[in-house]
Amino acid sequence: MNSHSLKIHAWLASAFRTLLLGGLAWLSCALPTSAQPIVQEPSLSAWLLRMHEASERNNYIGTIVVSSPSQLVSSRIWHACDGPRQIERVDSLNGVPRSTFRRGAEVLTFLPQTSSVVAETREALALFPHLLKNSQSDLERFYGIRLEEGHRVAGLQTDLVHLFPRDRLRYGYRIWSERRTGLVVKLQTMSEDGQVLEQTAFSELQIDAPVSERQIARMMGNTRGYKIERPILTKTSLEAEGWNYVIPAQGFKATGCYRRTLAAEVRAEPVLQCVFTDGLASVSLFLETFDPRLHLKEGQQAVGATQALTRRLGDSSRAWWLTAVGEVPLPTLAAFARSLERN
Amino acid sequence: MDELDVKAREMISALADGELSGQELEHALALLDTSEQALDYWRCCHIAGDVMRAPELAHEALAGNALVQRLQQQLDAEDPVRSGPESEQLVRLSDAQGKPAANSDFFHWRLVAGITAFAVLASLAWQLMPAVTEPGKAPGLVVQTEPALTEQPTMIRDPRLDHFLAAHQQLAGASALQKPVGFLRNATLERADR
Repeated sequence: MNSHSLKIHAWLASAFRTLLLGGLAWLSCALPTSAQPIVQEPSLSAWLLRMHEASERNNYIGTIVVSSPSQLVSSRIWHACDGPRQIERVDSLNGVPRSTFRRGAEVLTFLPQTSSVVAETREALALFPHLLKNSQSDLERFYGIRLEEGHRVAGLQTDLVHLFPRDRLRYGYRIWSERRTGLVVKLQTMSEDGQVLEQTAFSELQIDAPVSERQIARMMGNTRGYKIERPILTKTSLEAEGWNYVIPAQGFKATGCYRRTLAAEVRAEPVLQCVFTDGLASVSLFLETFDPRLHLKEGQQAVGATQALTRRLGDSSRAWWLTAVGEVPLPTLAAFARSLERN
Repeated sequence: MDELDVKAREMISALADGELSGQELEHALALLDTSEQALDYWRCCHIAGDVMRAPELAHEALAGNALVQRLQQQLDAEDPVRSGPESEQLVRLSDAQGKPAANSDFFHWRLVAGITAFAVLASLAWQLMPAVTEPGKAPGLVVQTEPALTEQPTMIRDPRLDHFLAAHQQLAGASALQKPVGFLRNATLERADR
């Protein structure tokens, strides 16, 4: 191609660009207002993303209360953001004094009475919002969204979003988010028949509070005089541990499987914990060798929105004890428990 | 405990029953935060709740109570033979601890509860039968009915369950709501004996 034809080519490209931009500008002015794209109601993922980002953009101090028919506990919260970094402190107001600090996925729990600190890295905390951005359709397949009239919570005007399950495998959620910032100020977990199983709500919340990220970080780093304990978690898989497993409930995926020691238990053999989630609800399966002194009878229990059941697996030659825990209806948990088969 | 007035006690009792909200809730929490007597009364409320739910928990709580132990020793030192109407009303703590309470997890209670639950479930199953058998009514539903649920449910009160709940709350954080509120909820619920 010679220089003359190159010039013609460049001129034609420039003329085409000018015509295209001009045409678009004319179209945008000439079209009537009614032809503007219809502003659709935000999707489930858009709401969740807004709530997620609100926690990354706002400083606040408040008191949170978790209540259910069987319990009522509360904590004082300090939450600060500094650009992409967020840090928070949660002080229990009931029972034994306890302060939990979180910076990203790093979590420290201070127990002043025993002068000990439990240090953990919770990888699952780092999964969002990437999962929200990348697999929007998954959540929307299993949960519907309905906007309802919000009311004032902790003195703040809210929007109310009802996430209802599309099947009977999971619970529904009603979420009140503060209208201006999108911060979640109240969450209810709803049973299949519309009963509130558990509620988490701020009784008092000061948004844009003068809380310093550096100050919380300094407190989090001050472990002098405390014994630091790091729970040992070894990654593994059900297959590697000799189990066949097909996840029995659609939408749930395995997020991790670990050999770990249970807190406050000095046991020679660690338990196996495998975690599954559908993006909102979680299920943990714990497996350990059957011990007749510890494992007395099979049964079930509900604590707020959390269900738990125990089952003996195996036969007389070798037996295991399964404890399943999750924020799902009992039949779903039982299906998870039944799906384990020894290789 | 004497310093706590009736109103404060009623407020803490209402808090334990989950009946408070708004400003009353704030006052109750502030009181618990500042008053040791209030905290003692809060614990009493929980022991009372435990007695209602599980008598064996109450026995454990009583066993660790110094006042009860002193009373027990004093009763043991006294003459066991008594006369008059008072003796009939006097119940030895040791006897009381050995006997099951009216709300105990006793076989006949379980039997009655089991039969009632079975009758209710059978009735529900009868009413729901056409909907369940109709194909395509519940897309995505792959869970089979749990056979055990139609039997007498056994409620477990395993102290180790608290450790499993704590372990679940620590690792099962892969939720879209985890950062907005889930972590705060889990950290609030987490047991201190981890």
